[in-house]
Amino acid sequence: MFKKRKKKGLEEVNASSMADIAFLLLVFFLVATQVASEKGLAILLPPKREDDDDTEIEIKERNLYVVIINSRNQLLVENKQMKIHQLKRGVLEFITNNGRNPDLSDSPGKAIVSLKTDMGTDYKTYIIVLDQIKAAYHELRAKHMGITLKEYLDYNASEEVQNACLKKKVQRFREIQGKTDDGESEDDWIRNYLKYDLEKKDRDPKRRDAYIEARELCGLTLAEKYHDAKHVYPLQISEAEPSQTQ
Amino acid sequence: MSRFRNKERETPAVSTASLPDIVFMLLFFFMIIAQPRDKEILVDQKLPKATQLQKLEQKSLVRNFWVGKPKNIGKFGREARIQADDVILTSDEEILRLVAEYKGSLGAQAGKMTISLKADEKVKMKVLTDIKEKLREADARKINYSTVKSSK
Repeated sequence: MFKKRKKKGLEEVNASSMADIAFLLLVFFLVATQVASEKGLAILLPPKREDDDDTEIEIKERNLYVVIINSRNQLLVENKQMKIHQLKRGVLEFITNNGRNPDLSDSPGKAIVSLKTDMGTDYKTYIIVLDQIKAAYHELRAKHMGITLKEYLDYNASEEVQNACLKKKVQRFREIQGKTDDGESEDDWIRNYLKYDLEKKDRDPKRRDAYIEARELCGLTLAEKYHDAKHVYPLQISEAEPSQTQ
Repeated sequence: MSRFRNKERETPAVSTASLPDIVFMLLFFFMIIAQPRDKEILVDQKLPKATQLQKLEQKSLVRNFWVGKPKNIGKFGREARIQADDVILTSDEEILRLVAEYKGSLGAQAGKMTISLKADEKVKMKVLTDIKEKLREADARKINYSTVKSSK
């Protein structure tokens, strides 16, 4: 009896239901999960206004590009009605004016876009308008960096800090200043290095020299170009505060 | 004659033995890229569309506020409301408390916290302006308007 069976060979386990089981699991995970997609338009709010703070910053009228959206989602730009799709061109002209047209900005660094909304404005319209303004700035920055707009949007700062050239520069930056073991992490130093602004009056000439030398060490990295572009075209959107505090 | 014979011969069935492998591969792929949906969203969520999207870098530093018309109109009314964590806030003042809580949980990295506003496109700006004022007050200034990619 035993011998007979052995001769037949082991019977194969029927695996056809395996696919069904796997499909069931797959469907379960598809339904129960969501793809991590944390994307959007980032902005930085102005700092909290102190009650006793009534300093007024004077901004030249020409450096301010006033965009108003009313409760019917219509656009008023510099006192003229405008369609939303024209806004990007308008903003581009305003930023890159460089003092030519007396009604538009002195320089990209001074240009400020003021965005005022009504209580009844749709969030959807606000996002479209903000998107247009951002598009203008992103286009200019991408051009400044010599990359495409898509590459600019996909730029990932945390990936870029792995760049060997950038690491070398930061290392040199620290060495010259004699601050190789001050407890600050490498990430902090990379940030310090990238944030350094040559045009600002710096009290520490050693730091200044260190920066200049480090910057010329190897070719300009994308991270540096990114910070330069942001410096040349700072996105300055001023949003009106609610009327009761004005 | 040979033609006849061909027709009579049975064509072998396509082997489906590798099907489970393929499906399991897909399964593991989804298991890895997806993360469990831990919060039930109690408000309408149709995010607005935009083109200039940028990725938020450190997800662990992101806290969400959902804004929209409540799904349960009978309980919460028709007006747009704010949801944080699992609950719908009763007043804007709660934002201050929540932000302080979030900051406490992040410790030294509190300064890098980003608030992601997931607002329904039908929401009026008044609601958002109020939230932004509260966030300014709570010194949570990095915010992100969550949007989806426009097809244009």
